[in-house]
Amino acid sequence: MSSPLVVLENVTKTYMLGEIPVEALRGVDLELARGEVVVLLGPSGSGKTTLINIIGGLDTPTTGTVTVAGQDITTAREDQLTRFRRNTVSFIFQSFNLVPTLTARENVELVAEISNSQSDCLDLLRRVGLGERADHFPHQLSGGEQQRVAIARALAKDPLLLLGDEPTGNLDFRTGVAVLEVLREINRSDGLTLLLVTHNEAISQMADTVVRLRSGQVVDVQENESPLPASKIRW
Amino acid sequence: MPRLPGLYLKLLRDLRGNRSQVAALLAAIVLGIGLFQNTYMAVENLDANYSLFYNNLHFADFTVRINPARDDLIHWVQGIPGVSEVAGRIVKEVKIEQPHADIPSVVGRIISLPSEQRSAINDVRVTSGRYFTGVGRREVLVEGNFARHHDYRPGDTIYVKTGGRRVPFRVSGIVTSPEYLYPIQSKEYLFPTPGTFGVLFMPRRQVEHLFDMSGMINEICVLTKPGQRPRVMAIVQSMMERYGSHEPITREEQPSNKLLTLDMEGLRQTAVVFPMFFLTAAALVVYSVLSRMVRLQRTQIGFLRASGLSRAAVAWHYCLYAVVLGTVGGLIGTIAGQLLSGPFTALYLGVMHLPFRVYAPGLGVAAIAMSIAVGTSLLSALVPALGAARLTPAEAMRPAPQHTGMRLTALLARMAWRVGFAGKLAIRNLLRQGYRLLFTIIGIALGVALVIVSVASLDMTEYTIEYYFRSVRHYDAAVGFTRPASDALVGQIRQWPEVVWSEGTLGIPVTLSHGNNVLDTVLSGIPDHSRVYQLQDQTGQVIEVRQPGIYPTRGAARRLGVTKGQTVRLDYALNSRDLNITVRAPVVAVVEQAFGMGIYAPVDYLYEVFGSRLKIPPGTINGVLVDTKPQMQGALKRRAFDLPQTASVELIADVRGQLDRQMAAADIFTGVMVLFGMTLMLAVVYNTVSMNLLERRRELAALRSLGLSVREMITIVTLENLLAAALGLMIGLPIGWFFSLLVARAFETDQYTIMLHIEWTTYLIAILAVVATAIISQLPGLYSLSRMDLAQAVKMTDT
Ligand SMILES: Nc1ncnc2c1ncn2[C@@H]1O[C@H](COP(=O)(O)OP(=O)(O)OP(=O)(O)O)[C@@H](O)[C@H]1O
Ligand SMILES: [Mg+2]
Repeated sequence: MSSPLVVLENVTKTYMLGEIPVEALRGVDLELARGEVVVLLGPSGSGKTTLINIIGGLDTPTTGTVTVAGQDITTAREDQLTRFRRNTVSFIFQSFNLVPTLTARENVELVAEISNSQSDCLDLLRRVGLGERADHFPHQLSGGEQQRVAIARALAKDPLLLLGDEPTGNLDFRTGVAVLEVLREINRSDGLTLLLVTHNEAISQMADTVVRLRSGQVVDVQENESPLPASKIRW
Repeated sequence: MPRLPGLYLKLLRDLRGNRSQVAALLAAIVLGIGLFQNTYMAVENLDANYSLFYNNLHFADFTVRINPARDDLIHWVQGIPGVSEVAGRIVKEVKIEQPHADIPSVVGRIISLPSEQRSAINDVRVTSGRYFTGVGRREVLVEGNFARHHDYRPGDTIYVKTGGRRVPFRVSGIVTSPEYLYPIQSKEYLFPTPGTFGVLFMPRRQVEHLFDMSGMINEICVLTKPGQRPRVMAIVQSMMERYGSHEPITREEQPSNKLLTLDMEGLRQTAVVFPMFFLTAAALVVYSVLSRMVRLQRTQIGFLRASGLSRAAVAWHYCLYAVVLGTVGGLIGTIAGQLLSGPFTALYLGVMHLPFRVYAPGLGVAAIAMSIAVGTSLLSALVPALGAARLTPAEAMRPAPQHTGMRLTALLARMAWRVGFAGKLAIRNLLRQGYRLLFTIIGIALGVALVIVSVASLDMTEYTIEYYFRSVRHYDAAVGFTRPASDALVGQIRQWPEVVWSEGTLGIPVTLSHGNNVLDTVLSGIPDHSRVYQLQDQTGQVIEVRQPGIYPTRGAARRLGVTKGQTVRLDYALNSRDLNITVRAPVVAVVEQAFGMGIYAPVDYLYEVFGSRLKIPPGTINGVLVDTKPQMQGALKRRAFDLPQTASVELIADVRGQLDRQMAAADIFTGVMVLFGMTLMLAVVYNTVSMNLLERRRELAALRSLGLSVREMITIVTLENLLAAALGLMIGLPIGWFFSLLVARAFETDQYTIMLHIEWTTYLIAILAVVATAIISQLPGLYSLSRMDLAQAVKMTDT
């Protein structure tokens, strides 16, 4: 097997709330293989967002090292980090975070511009089933549609790793499943590595690997022999 | 269709989404830049037109008065290297008699002009009628200001009294002269007096004949080559010494030109000072709009950074808003200002009865205006933009932290216990808002200050004039004599039926020096227990003019660089080899006075210093100040001119009228300023109040969904805004006062002191206007809140 895409070694993160230290991550060791769908489970406050932000280069750990695609991002300079964010990882968020003043297509194009990629933005929107809605503004789209735009946007830079922080958190069951189906499909066809953060147990059924986080520590890593297709998930 | 890159699209749509804020912002920039551009260009245009006028008529570089001498004298001067033109002329003071006019006899000045060709220096421009016809008739050209005041027209007859004869002249034309754009008699006069002073130009021959001065001149006018003036002037002066030459009067010192220059200086100050306030306001609005945008777009910034946009790119993105706003506002302002400056210049030149001939090149000023516009808004965008760039992506993803003044909140909330629910909520909200509250307060403070400073400039001019007439010119008429007289005359005049009170004066021309500072002025003797003069010092204390020494006005003291207690050297201005009077005079007190550089002294001090040498025993006067009965000024004037020694009668009513006319142009300007100030206040206050409400839509909607009635919501918001307004007023009133002080100082010149004085009504107007604006500004927001679909509002996301 090829080398893992993401390697975390003894990663800790301590926030200071005034005088009081808050230990969000307490020594996390983790490896993500290329092309996998990984689901990170954990209760609220367990450090999921912190972890995913660190992997995505949005935040730096207090101690430990994080290597993504062979690059140590814990020692990277600001400009190297910017390039990393521009080329290697993509995010989708619970609250979609589309630019409200830009249409669906313009949102996707914006990211393509930033990362200097040649992606066909309309085609990306078609892939997430929104070819017809390309010229609509976010407020004219439903939550599920907005999240699918966010996925198309995330793909525009052709990343190695897609990070999703509660991507279905704001969606109802049916819409959520539709979004997961799109994600799984992309994973299949492009070999894109997927790390999904959630506190929804059901979603772990579609994962190749399930990681459980509790109080800032990884308590369990489980290989899933026969992941369910997203369409079969119920919650 | 070419596509804009996404970030520019976002920028344009953000601007469109904040239409009302952007409009207010542009208004502030346009007002500031437009005002600057208009005024500055107007001054440049005026300057260009005056220069053109001066050049066309060959306005002299300097003139020297001499005792009558043969006119071949000018050939010597012609020979001095550096001289480009010389002209000799005869200048004589006469009386102009107007038997049927309401002022029967006024001071006239006859100036000779070449009979055959046009004068090479100080020529005149004929505005109606024609130049001398040269057919042996007695003819004059009448200076325009005097002609308009007394309605002389070509073909009329004008009577000149000289040497006991009354001689009729035919008016062949009305003219404008570079020396009398403002008809000022001499530098002792502060204002034009077209009612009592007229200039008549006559053919040289005729003047020679009239005064029996064939082949003679008594004044020399010189034009020099560039840069040669000081040298030439020194040579001419020493050359003319034996002809009893006076100090040469340079172009800069020439009374009419000097007043014009002061005018323009004042306008230039205005062009800078007022726009400065406006641009400060604009800067604040840019800052607040952008800070708000950055706060609301936290997650967008987070996303952009997560997508790989660099810090610098984020900072530049937000700076670009300012660049766009500055450019657009600057362009509109510059163009509007350029367009307005034409009519404005014409208006001003119209007052001077000069045609509008040339436009000054405007590109330089426009470039300055544009850089100020872009620079100001860029500068004020810097802090929010850098703030946006500093956000780490992870931080940006989380909701903004709430700034709080927790302890203060608790304290005030407890204090407000009795105010009831709405009051408590209002205070708590107000304090929880932190930066938003700060913006509202600053916005209101600035609004108040803007209104105060603009209205106060009206107050201050009015007060300054009022004060002048109350303290130093507290009489109805001043009669000046051709030669010293006995103060028995004062008693005689007091017996006249028109007169309530009269008082003698003695004015002696002096030169004062202190270190390198020199001042030529008139020392006015004030009798003990004067009822006419009520001099005050800077603190408003009445000054008793009794102690020996001099009492300079603030302007004079500043020019000399002296303060109370120091001594200055005092020379008789007409000192010569045979007569030399010099003493050291103590400065007893400094007189607060708006205009002029006069110096006062107890009249007894003058007798003491000059009495024996100038042969003016105690009791000698050369003028009388008179208080008249109401409506009797005209009668007094006629009677005064019946006295053989009367040279001039100056009615304060005329002076005041003239001054008011003089101020009319300035008042137009101040009126515009008030309008601008009010508009800007509207923009600023509307912006801060409406923006604040907009940001709190969700919060208020949530309260509404929890059962707050529309009525309660309105009460809370209104109370909040009133509280913020109260805090803003507390800061704004002193700031307004301080701005006014800056304006008063900025406009101070040697000749003119503006007194800081703000009417309480001005404060009241400012307070009412701002509070009313604040309340009105919240209405649209409140209306839409009261009609809002609550379900949608609570889940509404910020944009
Ligand atoms: N900027 C911060 N300052 C202080 N403490 C923080 C900060 N960010 C996170 N924390 C704390 O770190 C811990 C982990 O937070 P994190 O957001 O990673 O949790 P989470 O697993 O994503 O929770 P949720 O499921 O609610 O999103 C929490 O206790 C949180 O309060
Ligand atoms: Mg989280």
